Amino acid sequence: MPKPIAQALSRRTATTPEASSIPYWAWLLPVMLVIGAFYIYPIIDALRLAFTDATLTGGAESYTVRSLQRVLSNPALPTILSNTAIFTAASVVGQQLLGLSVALLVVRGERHHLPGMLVLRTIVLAAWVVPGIANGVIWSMLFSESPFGAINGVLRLLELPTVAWLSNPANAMLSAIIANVWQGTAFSMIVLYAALKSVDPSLYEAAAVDGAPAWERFWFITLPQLKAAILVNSILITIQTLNTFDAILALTGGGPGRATEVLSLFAYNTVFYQFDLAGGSALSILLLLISLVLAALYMLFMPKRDM
Amino acid sequence: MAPVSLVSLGKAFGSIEAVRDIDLEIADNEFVVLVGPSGCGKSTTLRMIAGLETISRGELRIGETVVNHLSPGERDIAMVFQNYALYPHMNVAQNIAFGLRHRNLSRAEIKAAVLDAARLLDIEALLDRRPKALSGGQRQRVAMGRAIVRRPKVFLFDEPLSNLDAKLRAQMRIEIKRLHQRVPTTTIFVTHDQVEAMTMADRVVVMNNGVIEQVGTPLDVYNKPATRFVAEFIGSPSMNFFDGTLEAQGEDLVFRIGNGRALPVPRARGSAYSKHFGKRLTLGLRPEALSVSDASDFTIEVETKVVEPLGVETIVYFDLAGHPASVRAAPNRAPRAGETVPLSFDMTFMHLIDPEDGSVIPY
Repeated sequence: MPKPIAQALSRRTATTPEASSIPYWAWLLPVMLVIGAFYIYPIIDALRLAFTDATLTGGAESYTVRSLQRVLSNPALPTILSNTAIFTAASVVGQQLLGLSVALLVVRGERHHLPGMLVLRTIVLAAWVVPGIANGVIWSMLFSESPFGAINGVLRLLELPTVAWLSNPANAMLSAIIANVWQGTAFSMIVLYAALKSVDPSLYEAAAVDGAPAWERFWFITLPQLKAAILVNSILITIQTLNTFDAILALTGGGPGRATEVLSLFAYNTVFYQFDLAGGSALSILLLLISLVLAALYMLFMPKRDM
Repeated sequence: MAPVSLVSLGKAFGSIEAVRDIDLEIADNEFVVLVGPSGCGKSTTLRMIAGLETISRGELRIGETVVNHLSPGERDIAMVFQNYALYPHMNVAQNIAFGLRHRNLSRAEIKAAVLDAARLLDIEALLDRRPKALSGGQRQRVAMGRAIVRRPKVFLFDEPLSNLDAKLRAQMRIEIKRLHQRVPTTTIFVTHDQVEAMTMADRVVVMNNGVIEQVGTPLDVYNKPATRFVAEFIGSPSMNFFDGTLEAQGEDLVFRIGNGRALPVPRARGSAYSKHFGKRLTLGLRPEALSVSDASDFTIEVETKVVEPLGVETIVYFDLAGHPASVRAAPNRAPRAGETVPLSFDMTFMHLIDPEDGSVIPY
């Protein structure tokens, strides 16, 4: 490069004297303040509260590990953790499968210029904007075992035996999962639809010319191309499902017994029904740790490049 | 390795007819290039042959089999795509081997076939790499490897060189040609680049507006274009066109450009052109049929507009009777822009075009 041009370029890209006198961390300060105030501080405070005997009813708090011991040695905790694992795993798998199915359907419909694809997408998305509590209420009406219960009503019309959706502990978890999957499918659909749309269509053509039938094109092209989206989606759904308690609260309240009580609902109940702020804080830290570990596990499978 | 027949082939997208009445017989192992401007239907035709577009009308045969309703995989063809369409999550070896999945081959046989193809294309060292880690030319080779490893009946190329830089394009042109010599296979190659068409094809198929304008060897198409479109599209710089009339001058015919000079028509053309006597016609002359000199009896003085030195020759642009035109000149005798120079016309290379239907009057 000729010298004058090089000099002119370096002059243009060099920072001005005023800018270079400001230390680099000052540029990060605004975002550090926001994250610090709204994310880091609450976590640190929850961690601090977990090591106190704080209650919602107020009064002086002192530092102790007894709250932590009490929570961790609670005989209900294994049941609750296993409920959480089942609820989360089934929701993640269910939402991914249903979301992928709907996304494939929509993309295929669009490719063949079928009318109504936008309407279909909008209808699916409508479930997602329903608040969790409302979702619980809607499904409690659908699952209701009283004469007006919608699903049992249909079963009766078909002269099939009715199902104790919510009162039978063996069915209640399935019902809660169905309600959660119904709501969460839309989110998966949108994520996977976007990922599907970004797959180069000529890959499918190349595979078709290479003699791959439809299922092989799905297995060898679609799935590998969606790997990153499926993993990111899994992280998001996992964290969201771990934090879900509103739908369950409205649907079963965690019952019958503890059949559908998950960790987030347990934490909520500990704080707001037993007023045990310290115990609830300990449980939310446990929830955070589980989320972090699972997210880290997913990241291990994340494609590093070439995708 | 099979002949391909296109019989009255047509494709309609709704009410739009993208391709119509394509009749073409491609011989076993022939290298045919479909060339034309974008939107002329060449890629649609290729995609119909590949089975990636349904055929609206007509019949397509590969070998003895009518393949209209066979899926791409059942047609025993291989295709190289414009963007190569390499599977990004597979390495080069897996990309090449993908098409062998249904051949009932053992692992060792597949490995040997992949190695063979890789050796042929000089990409053995790249077998473990992902497509992302390859250059444009290397990707091109892998795409070709994926095609030849299957030893298909027909190779289809859809503008495979258009993403490469000029130097690599020229190099790959030669490589594809050499590959065709080493692995003789019926090949159909689509391009918008007339240089590619001329240099690679056994036969060139010039397409425009969804129909075939002309089929012929490269030199046929260049020297004896059937239509004005072909005359204009093939050759760079393009053929010069001058509107005028065919008139009699004594016993000879002359072509009078506008109101300007009369150019003598060679006597040999007399009988072919006699029935067009007195008509408004278009004279077509390639830039090499003109020369910057006053050597011949009929020269016209023109003012040069732009001069393009290309090294081996210099292209001189000028206007004549309101028509932009060009002439090839030897670099050491090329005029400067703005100079007034005499032009000689070698009318033995003339073409007469009927402006009404754009056809070149045969002689």
